[in-house]
Amino acid sequence: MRRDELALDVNGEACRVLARGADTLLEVLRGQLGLTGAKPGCENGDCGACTVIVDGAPIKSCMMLAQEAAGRRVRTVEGLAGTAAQQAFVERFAFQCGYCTSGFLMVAQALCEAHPGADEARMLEWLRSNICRCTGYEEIRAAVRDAVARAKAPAVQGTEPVASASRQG
Amino acid sequence: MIPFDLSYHRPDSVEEAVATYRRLERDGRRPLYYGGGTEIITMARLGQVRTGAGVDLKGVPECGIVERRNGSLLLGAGLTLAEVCERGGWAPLADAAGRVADHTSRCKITLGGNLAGQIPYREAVLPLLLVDTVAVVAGEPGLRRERLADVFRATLRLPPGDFLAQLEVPLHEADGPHFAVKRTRLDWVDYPLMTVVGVRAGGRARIAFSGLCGYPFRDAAMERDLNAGRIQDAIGHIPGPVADDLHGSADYRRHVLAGVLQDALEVLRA
Repeated sequence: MRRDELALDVNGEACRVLARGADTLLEVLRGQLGLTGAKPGCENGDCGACTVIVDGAPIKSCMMLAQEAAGRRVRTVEGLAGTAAQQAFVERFAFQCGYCTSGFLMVAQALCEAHPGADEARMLEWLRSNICRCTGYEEIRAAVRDAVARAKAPAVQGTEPVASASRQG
Repeated sequence: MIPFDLSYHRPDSVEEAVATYRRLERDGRRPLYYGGGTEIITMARLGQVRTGAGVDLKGVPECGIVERRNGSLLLGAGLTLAEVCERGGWAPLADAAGRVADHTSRCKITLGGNLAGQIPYREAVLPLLLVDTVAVVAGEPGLRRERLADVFRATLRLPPGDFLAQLEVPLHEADGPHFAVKRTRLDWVDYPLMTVVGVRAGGRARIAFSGLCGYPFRDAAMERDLNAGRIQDAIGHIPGPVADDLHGSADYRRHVLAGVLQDALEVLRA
């Protein structure tokens, strides 16, 4: 089984991994880099538990070869510390078992950055990409509503907008 | 986990892509062109496809283009469906592509991948079949132009080693309102019970279908009936066996279709 060295940019850090051509980004993040925030769920592109952000777009990491990620900026939930999305999920208790949470958080963060102040229709469309088996959708929607509203709001003195805060992680 | 090895190649020109594919094919690697890769990864994991190499087309500049030229829209086949919706600039295509899978998946699935895929729905092709879309195909001599209607008959039919690089859409042909509806059994995100897309062109409705049969289609006899207001006759002219599966029985599909066509005609004849 042949493994090639691969250079990745994950959460702003340059990383080197050994990967098969057939390894998915999810497998490399978890198995090689120890970033277990992206969860293996269906591994079929349906549940969204493995969602990461690649060059600003939410991507299901089970549906991306690790080799495809070379030269692109990958962010995982471990890189979201201190963001408004994370804070909103805490304030709204937007999790039950928590297995889907990192995937929802990544979608929320990508939405905040791509469409600060996104309307309800867009927010729901983005959130339809993820499944919560505990059916905690109301709290999740409330949290994401809060996060996108904060992303739109002008920064108050002493705080930073979501997009800037997200880069601190 | 994909239970076999494959090598990953990312050419940065049409010529390099075609040459890479042909070299890998000569070496017995059974290569596949790779767009978003969602279907290849899924099927490889399930053992439904086996390949020794993927030739990723996302680095080919021609595949990433969005350009308006003389009343036509040129779209690279490597654009993701999310990009087609956000930047594509043609509402019928945005509406059809915008209901494929879910938003995150659409950030990965490409326009060309949707048309070339094994999953039978290929909804993004529907609006493209309603106008005289040109398929820009990459092959050994370089790029060539073909009518999409000639190379897409139920599935995308290209010689081995060729790939769909671009689609040129004559926007001026569709000069009226459009209609796009996807009906699913229950959930918003699901394979379609049916997807129906229509445009008005020269005062007549043009309508294409997915999910109804085992392939997407546009049918002249159905369109004649629909433009005469004969919905039941049009349903009688569906050109193949109506799908009868877990998503819905054939009778249920015909029943739903009658209502959808009524809605479509109200929009397209307004």
